[in-house]
Amino acid sequence: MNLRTNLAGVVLENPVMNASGTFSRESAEYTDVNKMGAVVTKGVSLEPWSGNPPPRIAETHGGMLNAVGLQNPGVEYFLREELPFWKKFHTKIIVNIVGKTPEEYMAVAERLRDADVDMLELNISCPNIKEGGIAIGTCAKQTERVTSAVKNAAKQPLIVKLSPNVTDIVEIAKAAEAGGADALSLINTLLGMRIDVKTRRPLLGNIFGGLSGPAIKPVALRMVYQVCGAVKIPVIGMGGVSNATDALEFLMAGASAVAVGSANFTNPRAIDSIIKELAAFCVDEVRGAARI
Amino acid sequence: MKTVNEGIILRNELLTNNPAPIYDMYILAPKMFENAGPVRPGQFVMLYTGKGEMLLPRPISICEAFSDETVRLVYQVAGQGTEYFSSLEEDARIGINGPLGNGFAVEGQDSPPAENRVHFLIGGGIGVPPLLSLAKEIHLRGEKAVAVLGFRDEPILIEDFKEYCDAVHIATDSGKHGFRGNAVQLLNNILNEQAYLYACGPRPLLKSLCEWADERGLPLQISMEERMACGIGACVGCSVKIKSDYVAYKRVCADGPVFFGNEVVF
Ligand SMILES: Cc1cc2nc3c(=O)[nH]c(=O)nc-3n(C[C@H](O)[C@H](O)[C@H](O)COP(=O)(O)OP(=O)(O)OC[C@H]3O[C@@H](n4cnc5c(N)ncnc54)[C@H](O)[C@@H]3O)c2cc1C
Ligand SMILES: Cc1cc2nc3c(=O)[nH]c(=O)nc-3n(C[C@H](O)[C@H](O)[C@H](O)COP(=O)(O)O)c2cc1C
Ligand code: FES
Repeated sequence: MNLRTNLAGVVLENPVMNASGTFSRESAEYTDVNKMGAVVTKGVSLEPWSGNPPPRIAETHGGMLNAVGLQNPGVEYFLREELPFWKKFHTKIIVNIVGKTPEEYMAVAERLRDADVDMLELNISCPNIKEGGIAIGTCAKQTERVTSAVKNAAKQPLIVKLSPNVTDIVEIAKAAEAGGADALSLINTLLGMRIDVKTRRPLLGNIFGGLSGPAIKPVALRMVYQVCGAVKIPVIGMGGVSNATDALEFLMAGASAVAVGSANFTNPRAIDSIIKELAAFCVDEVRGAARI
Repeated sequence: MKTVNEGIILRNELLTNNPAPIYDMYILAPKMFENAGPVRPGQFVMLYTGKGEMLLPRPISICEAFSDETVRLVYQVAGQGTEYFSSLEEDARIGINGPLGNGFAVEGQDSPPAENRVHFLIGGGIGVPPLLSLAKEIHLRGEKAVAVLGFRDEPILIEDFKEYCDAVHIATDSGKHGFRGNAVQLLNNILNEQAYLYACGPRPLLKSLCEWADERGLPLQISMEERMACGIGACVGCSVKIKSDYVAYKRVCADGPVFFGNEVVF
């Protein structure tokens, strides 16, 4: 069955990839990376980032909060140690890039110009860092400005990843499109918190964290539906995708591809089974279709 | 490809209710062992609830592993996930993945066994179970293992430790059994020789032990605990602060759970 997907000129074998920050080199021991439409890296910054103090994870009913704060060893380490690992697989590579200032984002995109990667994903939607991230992605003007600056610095097609923590997602989506984005991805996590009633303290070291998982799927789907109706560039839908039916909902809402995030934690083989189920669904759709 | 395997509960018995219900569970999971190498002491498994409201797997240390098909886990009821595990009866199925993490490295394991080498195993509360398989390994090497175990009130697994240890010392906060105080205070009273130290237990205990061992220049390995999402190294959620001027955190699940005492920042 042909699940091939064209994403801003980049051809994926199928429309399923991981969501940034939920899939590492270790995950490749569980999921067949060769079968993935693309692999998306964790946020990569110019310099190494240490991230937030623990605890960074809290479970919620049907979802989870994380406040990792984009811990990562930086772009030089990425190029030296991590990229060669992903290059061993036959899949497309999307690098999620992060920064505290527009200049930092640009510098990472610049550094990746000569790297053998297929797309960049501009993360202006992380709720767990104080500067950059969501501070940019919640403002239409800044979204357009940073998108266009990074687009100019980048060689590869640019995906802009949107935050759901806004009043009007369509306005931000249009701003990214106007800034020159080649594609959009949404949603990043919803800002939330938990309190431990025994200690009477916030459960997360960072107090607030990003909510993900099945609990956010209806919100994500609504936003993907709205954005797909308002922009011409392709959209990658994500937020709570944990099985093929979830993926189909996003595709039916207009998404060109879907990303699987927290479901990788509940089932480290989630992506494998979603791709298999999708292919089976497509076969079932057509089998006997001509027999009225 | 590695995967989450289906385990079958062989036994799930209450050990004590004090300070909270603690269960002794045996899971048959031969498939899990097929993919993995031999289990090392200090490694852990992830248990999957399979319930939509509890999406994250729960990390539990391997207390013992038998003939490459059964793991023994000793866990305390601490919330809804462990509460659910405690409700599972014989023959029930459960998702299990492991063994995960690095585990303890028995000091001198790459050189021939030395009869006079002494290993001290220091445990506090629900940190005691993973030390049992370490005691077993040291015993099988023909070296000396001494256990120093602290509890609130009710000791657990003492008979099991006696099987593999040359001595088992007990401390309780209440003084109901053995020494009155914690495991580090007790250790301070009994250890006056060169020894290798391994520990698992509550953070304050590990912290004071690290300081104690540091002052005496004794090598110490500690097993750390942190909240986890994936357990396999994918989410960078389970961070422990380490002495480094590069990235200041390591992952408990993939880089640990065992760290050197002088590596961790408390
Ligand atoms: C490497 C490692 C080994 C462990 N070994 C054992 C063991 O052998 N026996 C034992 O009784 N306990 C052990 N624990 C602690 C055990 O994982 C928690 O008690 C358990 O996850 C609590 O789950 P819950 O659903 O009952 O609690 P809830 O509070 O309902 O859990 C909510 C979330 O918080 C997490 N969580 C809560 N408390 C802890 C904690 N103390 N540590 C890590 N995550 C926590 C849960 O995993 C879950 O994701 C270990 C923890 C780690 C990290
Ligand atoms: C632990 C964790 C780490 C994440 N790290 C990143 C990141 O580095 N960059 C990014 O753009 N999004 C990151 N995200 C957001 C996810 O990529 C995704 O947008 C979000 O989790 C919603 O999808 P889900 O419900 O399928 O998890 C992270 C999410 C989680 C749970
Ligand atoms: S729990 Fe996900 S990296 Fe350790």
